[in-house]
Amino acid sequence: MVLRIAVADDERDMRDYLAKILPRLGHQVVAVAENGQRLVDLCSQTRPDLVITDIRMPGMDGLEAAKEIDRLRPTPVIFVSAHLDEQQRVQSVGQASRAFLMKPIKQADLAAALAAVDHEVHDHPDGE
Amino acid sequence: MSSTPEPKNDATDSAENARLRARHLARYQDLRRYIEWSDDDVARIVAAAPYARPHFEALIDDFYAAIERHPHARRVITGGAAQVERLKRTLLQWVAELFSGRYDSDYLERRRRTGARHAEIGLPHSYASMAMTRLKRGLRLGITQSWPASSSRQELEDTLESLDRLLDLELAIISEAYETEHFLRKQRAERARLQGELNEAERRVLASERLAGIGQMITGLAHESRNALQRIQACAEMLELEVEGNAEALDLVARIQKAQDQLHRLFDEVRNYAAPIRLDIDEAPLCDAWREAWELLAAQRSGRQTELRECIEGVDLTCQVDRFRMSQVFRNIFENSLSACTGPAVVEIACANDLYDGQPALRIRVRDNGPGLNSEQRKNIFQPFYTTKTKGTGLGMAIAQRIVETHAGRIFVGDNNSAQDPPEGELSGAEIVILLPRTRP
Repeated sequence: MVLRIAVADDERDMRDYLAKILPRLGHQVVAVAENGQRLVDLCSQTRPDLVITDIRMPGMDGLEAAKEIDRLRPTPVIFVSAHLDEQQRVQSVGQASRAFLMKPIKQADLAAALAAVDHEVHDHPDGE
Repeated sequence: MSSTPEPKNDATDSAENARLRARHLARYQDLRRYIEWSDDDVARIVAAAPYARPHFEALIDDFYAAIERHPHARRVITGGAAQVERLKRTLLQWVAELFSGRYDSDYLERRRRTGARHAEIGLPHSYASMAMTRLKRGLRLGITQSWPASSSRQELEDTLESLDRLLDLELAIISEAYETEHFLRKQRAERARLQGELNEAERRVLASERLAGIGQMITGLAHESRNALQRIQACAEMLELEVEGNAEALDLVARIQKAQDQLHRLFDEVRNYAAPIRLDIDEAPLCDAWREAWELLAAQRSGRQTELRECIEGVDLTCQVDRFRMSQVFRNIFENSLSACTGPAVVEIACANDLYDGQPALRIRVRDNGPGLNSEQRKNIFQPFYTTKTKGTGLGMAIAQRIVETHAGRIFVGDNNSAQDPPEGELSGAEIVILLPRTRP
């Protein structure tokens, strides 16, 4: 199933990478944001199936953004971070499923995480 | 040196010394009452002095001749004939004082010091006791021989009886000096042991403080490096897409990727080494950890002949350990073995029950069939960044040591010596030994 994905990272290289690699893995990137607030705004417009976001970003961080997005519509999130200690924190954010990937990630890491989310979205469409 | 502290200039020490002397005297007086020692005894001993004195010299010669004949007693004489002459003079004075009739506190302290000196130089107590018997027999004989015909037989019997009791008291003083010396020795050994433990604890605290400092720096560095490594990774993968079909360019991208992987691994290892270790303890057979490590090295083992031998029959392998961390320890040891063995590699694990710090422990010996470790490698193998490989961070064994020590265990290089031909069927390469407590403190 093709997932509609919103991505956010304050690093341009990472934004470009996700925008380029995700379609090659068979998914559609519907939003690209450089901070948490922009991610929330774009998610309210595009209603993605999945969010892939960095955690530490200027202004609103990835965790805050995930909570806001959850209030609009429960959405699975894959957090990508350079901080291992943030792994514990992501579990308690919102109601939808959370996954954590430690930077640096490769295409294969993304593919495995997406397969798990794909399975979940497919079984519970619209986050129900 | 005496069993009691010598008086020092310090007033407190003088007071302490006086208190000790008073205690010794009270004890001596109590012993005298116990054997019913009386002024009559004192008078009889003093009266017998002229009959005993002519025999002192022969008695003392006989005393040291007996010592000469007995190796256990003789070994305390380390200063040759000159020492024997000095000791003879001391013994003469000791015997003379025995008949002085002045059995006061000063007398007692001199006797105690003599006893303590015997204990201190390591003369077995049984020899001190037998020596007293020998002296007693000699003195009895001497007095009997010189006893005047004018004095009654009963008086002689009473005198010998007083002499016996006086020498029994002397033996009691010597025995107590031995006990005191034994107690002081135990106390000194215990103090040395505690001091050793304290030094070791201080060393660990210092090492862990140093590591904590490095750890903080590394954590910051690791975060920044992860972001930078991610950007390299992202750009390399995007570039790979851009140059699809261009073999030369793809080769260059693969090389960038390889270098990036290496850098990633280096940062991970340094962080692993320096970051605080939190153990996730579970009770499990330790073989799970080394078998997992061996499996994880499947890629390094592929294409070559390798064998993991286990000599674990009859040994309970259950330990309270962090299995993941212990697997890391074995992996690091195995990696070294695999890279040291050029031909077919054999790694052998042998386990045995043992004690470590008085607690039940498992002794794990890992040997390989490689060339073994030279003295420099043996000395430095656990030093961070020490490596003899062309590739590798030199942190593997340092990390292994940290993990084992965090488990309150010990890891060290075994005695296997590759310079000698090993017995048939035994591996002659490097040997690493781990002592792992079975339960957590």
